Amino acid sequence: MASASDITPVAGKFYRAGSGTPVPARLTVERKLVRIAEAGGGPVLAEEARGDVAISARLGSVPRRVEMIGSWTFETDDNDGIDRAFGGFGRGALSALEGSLPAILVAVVFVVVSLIGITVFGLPAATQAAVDRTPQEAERAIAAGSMRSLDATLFRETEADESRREALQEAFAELVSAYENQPWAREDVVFRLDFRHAPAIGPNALALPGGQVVVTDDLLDVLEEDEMVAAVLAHEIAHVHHRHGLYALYRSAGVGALILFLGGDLSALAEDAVVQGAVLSNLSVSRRSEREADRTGAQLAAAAGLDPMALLEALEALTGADADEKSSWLSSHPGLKDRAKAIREATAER
Amino acid sequence: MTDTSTTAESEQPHASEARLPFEFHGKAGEYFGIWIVNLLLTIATLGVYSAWAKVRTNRYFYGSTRLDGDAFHYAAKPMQILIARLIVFAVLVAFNVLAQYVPEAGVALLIVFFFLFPWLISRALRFQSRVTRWRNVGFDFRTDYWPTFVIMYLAPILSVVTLGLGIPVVTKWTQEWAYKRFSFGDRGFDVQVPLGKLYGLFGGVFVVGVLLYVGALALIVGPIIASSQAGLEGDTLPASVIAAIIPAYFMMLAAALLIYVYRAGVRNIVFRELVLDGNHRFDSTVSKRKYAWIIFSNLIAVAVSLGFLIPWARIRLSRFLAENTFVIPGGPLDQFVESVKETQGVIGEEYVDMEGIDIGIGL
Repeated sequence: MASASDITPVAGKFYRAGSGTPVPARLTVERKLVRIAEAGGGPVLAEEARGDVAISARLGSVPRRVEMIGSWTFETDDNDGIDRAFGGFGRGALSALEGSLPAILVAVVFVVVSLIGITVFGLPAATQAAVDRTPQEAERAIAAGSMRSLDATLFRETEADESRREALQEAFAELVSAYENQPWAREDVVFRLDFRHAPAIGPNALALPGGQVVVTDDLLDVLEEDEMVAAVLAHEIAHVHHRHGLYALYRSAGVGALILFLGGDLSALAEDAVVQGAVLSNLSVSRRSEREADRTGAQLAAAAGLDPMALLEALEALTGADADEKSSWLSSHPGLKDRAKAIREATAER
Repeated sequence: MTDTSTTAESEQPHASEARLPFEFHGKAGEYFGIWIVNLLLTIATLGVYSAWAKVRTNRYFYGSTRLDGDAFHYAAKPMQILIARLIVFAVLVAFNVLAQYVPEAGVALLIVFFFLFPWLISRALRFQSRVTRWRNVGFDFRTDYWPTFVIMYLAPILSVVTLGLGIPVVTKWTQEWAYKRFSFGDRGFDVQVPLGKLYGLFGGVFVVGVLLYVGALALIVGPIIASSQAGLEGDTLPASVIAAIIPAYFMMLAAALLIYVYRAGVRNIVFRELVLDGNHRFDSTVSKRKYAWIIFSNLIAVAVSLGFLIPWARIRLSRFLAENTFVIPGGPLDQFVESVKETQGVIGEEYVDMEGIDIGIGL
């Protein structure tokens, strides 16, 4: 500690509190005492116990500051001098890491591996765990809230034929009891089917979390046969069973949190790339959910004594596409060809 | 467009006076180490370190920027930023949960946020200004609610209802609003942005933008019309359309880059009119073409390198901007700084301000 190099003065600039006038000065640390004197053998400007001053952490070649908070500031470009004077205090492990090639290489590998790991494994696992821990009541409350806001915005009273609606309610009840007879069925789900006129979303059926299924009037217009509508209902019940609505909800929240936390250190552009990647991966998750719902829905339809392939006819009627359409990574639903194959396989499994 | 404006740039009256350049000493290699360690620790601490990472990054960029030999200093404390981020995060989570269960309450909260935002934004600007220091003196930003409200909500409406033709007016309002509230210690900045110059700049950008869009549209739509007139029917697009997609895409991209051309032009115009304490002037000589090129090539470099050239791209942009920014002192700078009074007490001790919302004024 008492070697001569310890008291080699560090040249820099001294500022009094609230003053923008730099005074050329020299700093020395001797016996735990920090002394700053005017350059060229001038008077002592400040003298403080070493423990009372704040030394800024070393950061690249950025100027270093020694501060008596509320009183004075000493600034110098001589980073090594400060490290020497304070015996390495404030040099910090960070600055050592940031300047060491092996550490940087390790950091690169760690960052790449963990970013891939988080998105490929961590996020899906965390999302699934959150879904599994969400009580049914919470799911139903979410659905009730969504239903209220949809009723206030996109939905109108249904104008569909009442006797047809009653027939479909019966078919829905049969599908629900077929579902409840399955050994793998979840016990706490309360299913409910509602009809709404919703021109904004066209011919569509939705499964909100917790068992709420909604069918639009336009869908009933396009699908003239009740068996086709029933196949769509089986598909929506399957969505409810797999809790796909909740999964999608949690997933987008997780992606949002990820972007929020890492965003600060990515550029605006890289952030865009992450967002686009998230959209693409959401689409891929959506296609996976649809395939899952197709398989389970086909099993349910068959168990209720319906033709599982009616879903395919319904989809053909709805999309106007032919059954040769392939999947695309830009669509939320798989291509019909893939879906037909999956449904055949699912019903053959039984 | 660029021809007339470049001659205008070289005719600036400031050119002959003594100009103090901003210098940037940051190095891409040095910053890469800081950046990657920031990312590593942010991931390893599940995001908590991001507040420290932000302070280190800003300290590096501020500390690498010098004027008249002295570096700028970023004085924010990580804890201030962490607390602010946690508050923002908690509010977002609470809002999302509430909006799921009780959408009506969500809508009510949105209205509250709407009126809270101007306050938050001006507080954030004040925070950013106060933690920026040079020669032991902090900058400051005067906050007031309704002017911020007008700039945030009413100005954008004006640019929409005028179909974009009011953009220069909005630019003038926004720039004057920001700089008239900005000060170095107790000495205010002032600026009167000449609307005519903004319209000159905007006119050029607008014409080029329209030409690019029309050109891109013509490349795509032309072959479709031609093929339908030739009586060709079919599901697939004609080959000529597919061939035109890539050049059309690049024309759209060029049109998007015009935003940066406009911003660079605005920066030059505003800095030339900016006055500190009545007699210190500024200059900005950002070449619009070069600026657009740096933005574009940075974008390509970052994409091709999967993000690993982000540090290089940031350093490159900061250096370019610093090297094209000047102070023209109206008198001895030392005497001026000596007379400046600090407007804040002990930095970082007396307040924990709203942070976490990043907004830049100008560039």
